[in-house]
Amino acid sequence: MVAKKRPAKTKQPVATRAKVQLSPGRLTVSYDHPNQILPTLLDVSSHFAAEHIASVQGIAVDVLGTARAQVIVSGCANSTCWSCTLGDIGLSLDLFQTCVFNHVSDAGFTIGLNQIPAASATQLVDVVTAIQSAPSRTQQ
Amino acid sequence: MRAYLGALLCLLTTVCLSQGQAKMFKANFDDHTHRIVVFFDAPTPGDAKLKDSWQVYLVGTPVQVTVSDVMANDPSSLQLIFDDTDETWLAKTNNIIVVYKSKQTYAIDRKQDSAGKPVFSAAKDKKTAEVYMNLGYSPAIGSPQQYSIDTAVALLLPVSSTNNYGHIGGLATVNTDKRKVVDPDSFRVFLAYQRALAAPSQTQIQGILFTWLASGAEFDHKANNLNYVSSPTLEFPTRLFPMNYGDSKQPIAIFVPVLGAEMGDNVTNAVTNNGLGALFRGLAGADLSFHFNPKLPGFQGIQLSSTYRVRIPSTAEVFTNTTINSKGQTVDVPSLSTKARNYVKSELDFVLIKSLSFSITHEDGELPPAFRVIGNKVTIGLTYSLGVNRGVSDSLRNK
Repeated sequence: MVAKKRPAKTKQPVATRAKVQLSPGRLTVSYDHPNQILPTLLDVSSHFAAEHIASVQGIAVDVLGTARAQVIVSGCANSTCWSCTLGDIGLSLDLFQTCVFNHVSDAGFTIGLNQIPAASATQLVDVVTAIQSAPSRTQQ
Repeated sequence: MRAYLGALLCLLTTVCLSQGQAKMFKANFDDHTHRIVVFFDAPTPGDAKLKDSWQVYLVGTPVQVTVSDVMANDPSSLQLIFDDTDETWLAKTNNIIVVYKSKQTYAIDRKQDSAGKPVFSAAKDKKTAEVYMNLGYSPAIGSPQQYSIDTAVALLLPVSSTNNYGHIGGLATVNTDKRKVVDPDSFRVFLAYQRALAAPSQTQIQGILFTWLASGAEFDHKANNLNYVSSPTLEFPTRLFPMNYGDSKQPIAIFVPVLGAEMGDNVTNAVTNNGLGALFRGLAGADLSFHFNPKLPGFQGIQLSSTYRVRIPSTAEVFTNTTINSKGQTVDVPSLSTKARNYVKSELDFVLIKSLSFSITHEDGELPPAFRVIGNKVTIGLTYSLGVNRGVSDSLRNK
């Protein structure tokens, strides 16, 4: 007598990603647990991002960088309140812009005077972001 | 009532708790060090210096990167450090997501960060506005009610994009004197040049600013008085307090002494039919401004500014007194003199939104070209300010 072989029970795998449905003008994300959302959104955003990988040529360029930009901006503003605006700090906008321009140039990098934002509503961190990509003068 | 008080208490508790928590409001990828720099809007929390508090995701890549160390930059920013392999992947990725303690998230878009910003933005005050307009109303207190306009438009662009040769551009201002109806009295149109002679240092004096209203005209609405003027000035902006600015709620006071001259030619005036010829005036004064923004909901702060200018003519120039005739009309009484012409203006602004404020203004003295006596004018009104990339200093205003 041969016993009937029962089919082995297989465990249903727990979904590690949420379900995504894309229809015209609408994106629906369904999930069982909040932890599933971030990996799913990363995947989805990969489809929407125009270009994910920067060019290799861009990496090789020597730039001022964020850390050096921070030193220059905080020195010219006498402040490390990065969320503060130039208006909050009471800076003379002309003098601040010139100070940043001179220090970027003195450090051996190139930037245009009008590329340095210096409006009343400009946050200190905006100036850091604007000048951090200033290229080295030797690579011009 | 109890429910209302409970809701209010809950709201206040939420606001207080949320104000106490530092927020990660910006993160940048440093192309030079291949590290991520994170900025907080308050002193960095202690646990932010632990590497386990951070997760970094690279959008569009299967790679998982790990923070190997955290280094404090200054009181409100720090660097996330990675090993060499992860640095290479980070450097190649445009879109990076930084997560702090699984609660605060910031998405770095390196292409967006390198893109330009909008040209126009709201200016917080008159000092930093390229377009400034004040529409005022003087209430009737023992005299007829009056309306006034104080407008300035100035746009300066850099002479060179690669070298600091200063800024050049144009300026136009319109002011009214005290009349029953809006009667623009003082016009100025100039070619302007501006250059920072000394940049800020670690002292209270922020530097020296040179402004040259190279060539232009000042005239009244009937062109009874018309001067060709060229005017160089030096400004010395000085921060009275605080020396180091660490919190956006701190009050701040700026004092700006001004020295200069006005030279040119009087083409016509209200006293003699022919012009008076060459003119030269010494110019001195100071600006004082106090700004305080307690960051309350729906309120952008208080700005108190005060200006004083004295002009000392070397030759006799028009000076216009006013009187009321038998019909109740304001009548000019012009004369020639070398007496010093003082002008003082104080303005208290309650900033409603970033470009719009409610203002109370007091003026006294005389303004060129007619030097008509203003005589203690108090105005309430609305002020609109718009900035471009940089502000225009007070020396370009009609003072």
